[in-house]
Amino acid sequence: MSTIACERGDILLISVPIGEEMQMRLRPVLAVRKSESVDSHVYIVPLTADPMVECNSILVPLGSFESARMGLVSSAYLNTVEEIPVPRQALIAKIGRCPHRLLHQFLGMYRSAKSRSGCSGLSLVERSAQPDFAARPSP
Amino acid sequence: MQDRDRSTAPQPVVALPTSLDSLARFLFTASTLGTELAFWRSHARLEHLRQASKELQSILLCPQVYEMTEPDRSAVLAAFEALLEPLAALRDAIPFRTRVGILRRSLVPCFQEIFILHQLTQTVVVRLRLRKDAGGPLAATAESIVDADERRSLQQSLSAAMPYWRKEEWNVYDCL
Repeated sequence: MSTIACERGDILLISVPIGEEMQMRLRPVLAVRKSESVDSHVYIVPLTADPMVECNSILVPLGSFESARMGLVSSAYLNTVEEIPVPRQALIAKIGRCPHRLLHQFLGMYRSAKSRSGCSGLSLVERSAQPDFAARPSP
Repeated sequence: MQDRDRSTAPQPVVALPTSLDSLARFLFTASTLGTELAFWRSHARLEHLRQASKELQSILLCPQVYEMTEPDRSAVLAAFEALLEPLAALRDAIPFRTRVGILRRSLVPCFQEIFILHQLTQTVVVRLRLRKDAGGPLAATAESIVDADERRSLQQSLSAAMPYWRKEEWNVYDCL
């Protein structure tokens, strides 16, 4: 049983059964709620290689500060899909954190998508001159 | 200073491109200075760090690096793993959990570049490991759920993401 506590905005690696043979593979997800209790679920949204359908997505390109801070090793899309509870034992490691500004942008899109049940397309992370950790470190 | 760096730094088995070789020698010296000095020295070499990032970006776009045969691939992997270690130490020392003071704000671009350099180096390493069919330290923990019913239930919960997660390129996360 994993004892890793996670905060909203943490980037986690979870163990996922892929394909019909259900081979366990590691995939990155964003924690959307704080979770400390050992017997609790972890609430996540998936990070994917392509934008998921019927939701808004933000591209986080490899080589950007945001992607590096998130501990990713590929370009990835953050998708505003409904949060998914996964059992804590699937949680393998915490690999990074979503920078404050990007998390804020994502949660804004997430809430508006939930309230309107609509899809306004894709967004792209642009490298900012002053990342938000200078003035406002991660909580 | 550069001569001293060259004489005391560990010699890699494979020659890295010039900017990465210079980065490796700098990191070796920086590791003996303590993190505060290392950050200021990195700040002074920001253009060099950016050049090394560009070099890594071009390596990531170069398929020949991953198509090479053994033992060359193992040698290149060892060279990049050796580069990754001091970069990880420097990245881990970046003060995220405390307020960044006025003096240190000028270091922000350098902190950013260290994160990017670490990420790009790690990406080269995991891609080489994937080609070598060698998992990373976390791969052994992937089998955390052994019960078939639990696996099916998890697959069901994550069904919306499954088509996107089947991509083979994303098996790099098994090599972290």
